[in-house]
Amino acid sequence: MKKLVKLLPFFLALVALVASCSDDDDIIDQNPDELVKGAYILNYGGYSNDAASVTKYDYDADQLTSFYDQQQNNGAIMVSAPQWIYEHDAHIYVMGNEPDRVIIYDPLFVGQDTITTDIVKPRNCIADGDYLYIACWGGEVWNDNSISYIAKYNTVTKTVESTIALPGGPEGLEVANGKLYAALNYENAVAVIDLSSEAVSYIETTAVCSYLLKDNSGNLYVSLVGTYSNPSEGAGLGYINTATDEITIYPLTMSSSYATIMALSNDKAKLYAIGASGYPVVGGVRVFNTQTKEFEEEALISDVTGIKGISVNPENGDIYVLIDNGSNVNGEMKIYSADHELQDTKEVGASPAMTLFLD
Amino acid sequence: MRRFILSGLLALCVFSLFAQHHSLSDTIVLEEVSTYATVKKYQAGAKVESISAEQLDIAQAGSLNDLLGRFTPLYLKADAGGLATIRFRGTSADHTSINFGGININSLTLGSSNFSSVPMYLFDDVDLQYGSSSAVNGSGSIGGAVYLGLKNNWTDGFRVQATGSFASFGEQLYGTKVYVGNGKFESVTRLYYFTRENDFTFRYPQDGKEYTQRGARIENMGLLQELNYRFDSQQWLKTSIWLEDDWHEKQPEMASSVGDNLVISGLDNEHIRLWSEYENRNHAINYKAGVGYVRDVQIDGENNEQKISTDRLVAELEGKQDITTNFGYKAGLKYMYVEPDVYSYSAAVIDYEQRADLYASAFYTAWRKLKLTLNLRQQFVTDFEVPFTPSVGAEYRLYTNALSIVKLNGNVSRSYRVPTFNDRFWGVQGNPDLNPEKGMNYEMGIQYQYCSEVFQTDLKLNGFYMDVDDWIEWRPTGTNGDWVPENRSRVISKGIEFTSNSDLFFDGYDISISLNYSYNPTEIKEDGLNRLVGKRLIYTPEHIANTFIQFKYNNWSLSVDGSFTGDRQVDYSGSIANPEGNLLDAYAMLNCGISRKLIVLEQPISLRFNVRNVLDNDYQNQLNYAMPGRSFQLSLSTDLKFYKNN
Repeated sequence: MKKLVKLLPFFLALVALVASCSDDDDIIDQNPDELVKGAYILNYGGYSNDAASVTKYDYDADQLTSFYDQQQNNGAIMVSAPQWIYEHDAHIYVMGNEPDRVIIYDPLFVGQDTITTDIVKPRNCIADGDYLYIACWGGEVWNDNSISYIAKYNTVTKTVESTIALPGGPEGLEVANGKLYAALNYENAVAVIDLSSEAVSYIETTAVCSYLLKDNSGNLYVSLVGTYSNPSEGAGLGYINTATDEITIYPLTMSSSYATIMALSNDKAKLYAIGASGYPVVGGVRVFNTQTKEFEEEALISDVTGIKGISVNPENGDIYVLIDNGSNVNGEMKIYSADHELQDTKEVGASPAMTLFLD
Repeated sequence: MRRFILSGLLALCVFSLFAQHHSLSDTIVLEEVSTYATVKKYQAGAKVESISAEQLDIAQAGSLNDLLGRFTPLYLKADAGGLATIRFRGTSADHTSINFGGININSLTLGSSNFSSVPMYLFDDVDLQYGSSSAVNGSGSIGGAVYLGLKNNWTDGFRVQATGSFASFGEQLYGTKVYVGNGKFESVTRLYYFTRENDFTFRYPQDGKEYTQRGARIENMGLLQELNYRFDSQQWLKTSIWLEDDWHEKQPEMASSVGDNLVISGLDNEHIRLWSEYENRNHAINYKAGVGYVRDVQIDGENNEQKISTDRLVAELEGKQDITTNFGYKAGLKYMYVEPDVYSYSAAVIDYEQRADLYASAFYTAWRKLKLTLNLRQQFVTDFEVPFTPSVGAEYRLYTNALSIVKLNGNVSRSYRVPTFNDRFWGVQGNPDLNPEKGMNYEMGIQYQYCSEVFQTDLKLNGFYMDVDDWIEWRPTGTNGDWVPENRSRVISKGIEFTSNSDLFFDGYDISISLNYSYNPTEIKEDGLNRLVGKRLIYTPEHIANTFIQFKYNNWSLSVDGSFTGDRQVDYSGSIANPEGNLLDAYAMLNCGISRKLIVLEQPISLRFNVRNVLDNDYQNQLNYAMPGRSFQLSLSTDLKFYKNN
């Protein structure tokens, strides 16, 4: 027994040593939650300027950090008129235009890589398994809508494995029921790509499309918009049953802005859509009841110019509305509570396009 | 009387030596030899400058952008030759009119012109009017006006000029001018072809490496045909037809140019510009009548379905009378019919538009020292209300002796700009209910001229204050089209300009020196967005300076010119290093050239060798667009005269 007691310190030391060598403690968390958690506002800026940036908003501490991406990358300016931001498997993907590329950041927004091969005018992306599907316009799609495609990026091998020709200028993407849905911005249709065969079919719409949202049942909302090159009387909100690929239209003058012009509340009972009617085209946010499939009479916001994007904080349900004041001047972010009360207004970067929530 | 004669001699002396620069403002100069003479007679106190013949010669293979960027204190926002727009006295690109005969060649859809697509080879004169000139030129002349001129030669015989110019980065210009006439009838044909590969090397700031510019090729060609007939010395008919086909690749930003997925696309612009004018000075009331036609077509990326085109017919009738040498007036009527054909305009909104201008001008000279002018203009536009635009000007000869004159001048003018067709009718975003932009321009200056046998100089110091209200900007609304035009701002642009031109003659040497400096702060006084109030306008440098020195001896000529362009604010959103807004660095340029005139087979030949950007400066005129470094140009010109001209 004495021997055992004498050996106890040795055993304790051994246990401590073994414990200190355990896998858990050996791997240092590179992206601790307390540093990552927050709302990240992607500021588009504009072509031919250096105004693109990411603003970080720590909503717990009510702390705003402008030029967060530049802070994390030794002052380097994104340069790239970022179109869309997306998180998948601890990587942040930003679709950049001018130059055309997908920029990959880690969750702390430290630049990791860029994808340029087979990436021409990237618009949007969605992940499914090991693949990231990237909607690309392929060039001046407004002059030739046959040049657009979907790039299939393997997130493991980090290469674009193939491209799927998809005329019509794909914009928003969603995956549902084993199919990739692409909102076409230069055709009155939503393209449906069978992910196993890559066969393409189409759902006809009453206007060109821009953005897709998936509800809890795996069905999709699509924004149908009138643009100057494709004016339409058929604008509105479309609801696609992904089992039958049938669409139901709910008329509304939708925003023709890109990125996030629709957002679902956390309980998916409400859909917020940026829209307006008449001239001047002053913006507003309409509320769509997803149960009754009707727009509420009272808008969330009325008569605010420059509304560009809307998002819902997945943690507390606050609604973030982005106001664009121009490509070279700072924009605003209005924060509404889930019950539609204006809480705060924050100054963000130029031409804020969308908000990404990380935790 | 003696003073008057001396003044007259001085005026004659200075005019003869400085005709290329400017005429004496107290001397009423009616240059019949110039088809498109300046408007100074009725614009006392206005600052009007002419580009010298030497400077025009140096830049003849280039564009209006190349010329003004090198030799004037004007800022042009430009890339490497495809697109350039002017910012005259801090105003925007659509605040400057470019006048060819009775036509303002600015696009009616955009409101502005591409200064890189105005070839200097086709023109004999370029005059600049600083400040508001709406009272004489109509809509859009808030910041200033450019006049493209053609000299009338009344050729008696046959004359051929030919030029070939070759420069770095695949630049070539071939041009010819053919003059045929019998002293009464004259045909002048001017043709040119210009191309530049623009495959220069640039350093990409992000990685410090050097790359070759791609996607910036330019190919322009044009024909300017004059047909002139002189009934007698006081009566003539002149017609000019200018056909222009300009194509360029849309130069990508550096970041795109260095990428491996660059998409190159071109922009094609075709123009037909015709102006025909009959003038009769045989009667107490002189009169002239002109008609014109303009067709502008733009095709983006070879997509004919997205055509942007306008056709316009212009007619003008003007009468003028000098009742005495001290008092005269003119009055006129101008009419324009415009038919746009733009893919994004709805025919229900705009089918055609008519514009009519009534104008009257007068001058009065008192005590041979004071000249006063008055200009009145009222334009009428279909379904649109346009403000009345008067202007008054004065010149006062403060001091005169046998060799020098000191003059004070001032001008107050109102200006306006009718919103462009795009502003009013583009898609669903255009707003037909926009107000016209309205400006007030106040100008004062002092001028000193000295003329002796060996030295002449002309110095001007001008101060100006411009207040432009209802400034139209396209800004986002986020709904149904994203960007819409709005009457957003009130902008103040003020400044001081110094201009000097001097010539020194001794022992057969002729040394010309010009120096220009402009200090031009701007301020957004009011704006729909409070955070912009008090800010300066983007792409408006506060400081611009340039100098030009030329030595001539026998048949040799050596020239050096340099310019400085101050920093420019490029946004208000900034970066982590410049949170108040990013600035584009100031830059300096130095160019030089040497030329030699030869006689070969009894015909004159001119050889010129230029070095541009001598110091090989790495600079950006427009943010993120690469500009060429040092380049070399060799040109050869002939002027074959088979009959002596009148």
